[in-house]
Amino acid sequence: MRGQRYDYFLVWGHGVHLVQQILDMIRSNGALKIVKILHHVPGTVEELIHAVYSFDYAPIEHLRGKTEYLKRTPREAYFIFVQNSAPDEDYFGEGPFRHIESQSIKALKEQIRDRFNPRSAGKRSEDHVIHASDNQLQTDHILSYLGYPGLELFDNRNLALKAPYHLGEISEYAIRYLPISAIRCRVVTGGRFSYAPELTDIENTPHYRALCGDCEPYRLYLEKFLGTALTDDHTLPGLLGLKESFRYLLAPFDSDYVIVREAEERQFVVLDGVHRVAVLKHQGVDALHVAVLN
Amino acid sequence: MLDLLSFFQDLAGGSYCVVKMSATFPGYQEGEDVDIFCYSVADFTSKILSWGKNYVADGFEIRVTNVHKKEHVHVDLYRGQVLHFRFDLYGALPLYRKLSIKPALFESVIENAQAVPHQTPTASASVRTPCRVDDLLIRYLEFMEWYDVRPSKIKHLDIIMESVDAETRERLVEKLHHYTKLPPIFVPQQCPFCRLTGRIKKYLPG
Repeated sequence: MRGQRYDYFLVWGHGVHLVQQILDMIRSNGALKIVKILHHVPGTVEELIHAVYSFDYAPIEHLRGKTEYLKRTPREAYFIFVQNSAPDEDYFGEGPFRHIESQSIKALKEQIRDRFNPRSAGKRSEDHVIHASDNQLQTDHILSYLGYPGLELFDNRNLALKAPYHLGEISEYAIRYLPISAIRCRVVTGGRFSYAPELTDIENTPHYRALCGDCEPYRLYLEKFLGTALTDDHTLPGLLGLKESFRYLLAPFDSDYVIVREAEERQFVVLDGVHRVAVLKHQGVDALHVAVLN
Repeated sequence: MLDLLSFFQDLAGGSYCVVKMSATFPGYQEGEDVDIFCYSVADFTSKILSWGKNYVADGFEIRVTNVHKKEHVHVDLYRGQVLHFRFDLYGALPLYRKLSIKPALFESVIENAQAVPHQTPTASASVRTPCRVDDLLIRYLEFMEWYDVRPSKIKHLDIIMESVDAETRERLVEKLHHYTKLPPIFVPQQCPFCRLTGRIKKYLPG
């Protein structure tokens, strides 16, 4: 079976410190595109276990033994949502446990478990650091559990404008050509869990500084706010890779306008697209087409 | 002035239909609009934005407004605060209140559209416009919908009456009858209990 679907990986509390390496393994799979990374602190670990396994193909009674170890893990987790362009679905299991699963997700999940599951007597234990969805319905369910509207989160609901979910449905916008000097960016400051946005010129963002060779602030910025304030998949090599090759609004990215809002007379704040503005500034562009929201 | 033909040049082979096209096209007056039927309003909007980018760099602004459920969208080119030109995009038939129209008429208009060649000193392109019968049909619907509140719509009836031979008129009526009917008359419903108490009240004193 072929097609595209959305899946998720869940890094349990005892694997949270490994999240960067797990992300790298997921990124190295060409069929998977990370679309959202969320750090999650559940009310209790049991609550999270119940949410994750309540849409499993096996009844929760059968999973009790299998998930017992999770109750002793730290009360935090990472959800990594991916767009899976080669699910390679097939049937697994026998009798009442027979279910459809993506072979590519299953293979990657096992690779990650082989590498990062705690070991006992030199062998991989079954205290899995990672869980992955079997089907898209489970992804939809987990998104609902996290307070999102399900898979609709990943739909583009706007006309000829690609915009992130948090901007809501945009029914009106204007395309304008603005000097980069009129654009200000929002960066996050403060603590990992108690952050606040701060407005700054593009030259002062960690993004632009990284492009100019001062990479450490950007690396620390991503690391600090991964899954909390920053839920998109950005990496330092990814940003540096855009430095030369990025061509703004060229097909197939012709709907990917930088989205801004006019904060005051001739001053515009970026709502989506700080990376793109930073790269354009670094490329020497002094004006760009943007979508201005009311 | 916008070079509208260069836009339609890029659409060669596309599924769309420019309806009620002005006689001066591709020339236009400031504030004028062009009505376009198309299958994907989002794709069409993207194409207008791609084409219009150069005009934006020259000081225009393109405003996109979702008028109704992403099936009716305005893509407006403004110069300063003045509307310069509007693309009025429809992904389904506009809402007519005085006649019930089968939605399939929308596809019929697009599928039967014919390519009409246009030329300016700088560009040439074929623009898809409704076939003769569909053009008259749309004009008739427009006249029916608005004649009582917008007297200027009489021009559509004049065109139908003056410039159509008997055979075309017959085909027009045939297609009109196939795709339309009078809207149902709405009779307010009253529940049997209210009807009964209403009757009883008639016979009560005071």
